[in-house]
Amino acid sequence: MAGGCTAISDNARIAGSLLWHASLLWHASLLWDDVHMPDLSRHQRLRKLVEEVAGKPAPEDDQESLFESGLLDSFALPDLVSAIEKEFALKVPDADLNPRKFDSIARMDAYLADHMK
Amino acid sequence: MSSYLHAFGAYLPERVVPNAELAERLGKTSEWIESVSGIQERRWASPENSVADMGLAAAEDCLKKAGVSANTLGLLIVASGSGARGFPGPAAEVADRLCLDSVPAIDLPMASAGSLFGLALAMRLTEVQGDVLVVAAEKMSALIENDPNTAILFGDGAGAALVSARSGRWRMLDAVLHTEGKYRADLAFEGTGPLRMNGLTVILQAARKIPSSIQEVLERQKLSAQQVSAFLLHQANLNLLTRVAKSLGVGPEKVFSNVQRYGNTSSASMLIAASEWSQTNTETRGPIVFSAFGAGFHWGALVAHSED
Repeated sequence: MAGGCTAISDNARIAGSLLWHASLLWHASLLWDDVHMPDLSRHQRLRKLVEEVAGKPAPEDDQESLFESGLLDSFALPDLVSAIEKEFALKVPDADLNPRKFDSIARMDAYLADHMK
Repeated sequence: MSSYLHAFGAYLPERVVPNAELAERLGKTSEWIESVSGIQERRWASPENSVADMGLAAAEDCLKKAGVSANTLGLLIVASGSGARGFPGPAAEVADRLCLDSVPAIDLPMASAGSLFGLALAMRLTEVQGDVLVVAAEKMSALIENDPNTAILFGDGAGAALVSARSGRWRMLDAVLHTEGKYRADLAFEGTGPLRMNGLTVILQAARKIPSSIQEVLERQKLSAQQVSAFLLHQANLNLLTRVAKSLGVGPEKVFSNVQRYGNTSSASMLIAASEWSQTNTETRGPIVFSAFGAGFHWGALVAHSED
């Protein structure tokens, strides 16, 4: 029995260790997501804004240039910036009105991540 | 001491260049040109017709409408981004052909916002110089090549305005002028080669800076955009004019446009627009606003109010 108990105890220790490691991995993955994954809500809102301004579906690839792909033209850019300001209740200063910052959903997301902290 | 706008003048070359003529050359369609710019046709000067020729014609038209002769002038200001790059600029030739004797003539080698800067300077100089004639003349057809993004936009023409300390049709209330030289490479012509334009940056900045400068000058005068009778703006692109109206919260009918017929005549466009608007709106009263944005970037706004 003792051996059995020992065996159970060993199994429990092994299981506990596995759980502890799994928990570590889970927390690490949360931390990873927090640092490296976009804010899903913000990201979805951005995609929706792009689709509203363009009147077409947003590209699957967040890195794709919205202007080089022809989804948006130069006159849609001021509309998009205004829509972002309204949606996220922030003012994009004139100095930040660089088309490169708003060229793709990924870049807009990065801009917002920096400016909504 | 106040300054007053007395009259405007304009000159447009006879040759009409419809979209169809450009579309074929540029591999585009007339419909595409109109959709991206609102422009249906523009005027091009003949090869022998110079910036000074057009400036002189607009100056004479303005003086005639003001009912004054050139010998009353105390200062001539000639804006042009497409004038001769060397010296002297077109101001000396226009002054000579107006028979001005020892009257100072200043060149403003500025595209697009040149006429606005000229008006703002004139407003502040009438006390010292007396009557000031502001002329803006452009031969943009000489600068464009086969880049569809710029070749479709520009036209040739000239405009003029007479500013005086004597009481006139509109009292000039205030002006704001700005420059951000860090954008100088985004819209440039260096004397040779094609005109260079970073359209995304130009539109993005113009769409923000034109309304903000208008709001700035209106707030200083405790006026609202809704109180303004007419906005007489640099005629860059119909889509931009529409967006400016939207940003200001006014109907598009308040923003005068003739870019459909003349294209973007750079610094001349605002005065050509003012000339046409003033001829067809003789009974309109209240504040009028001028605004322009262009290469530099230079931009600003000026507000005047009808007398009586």
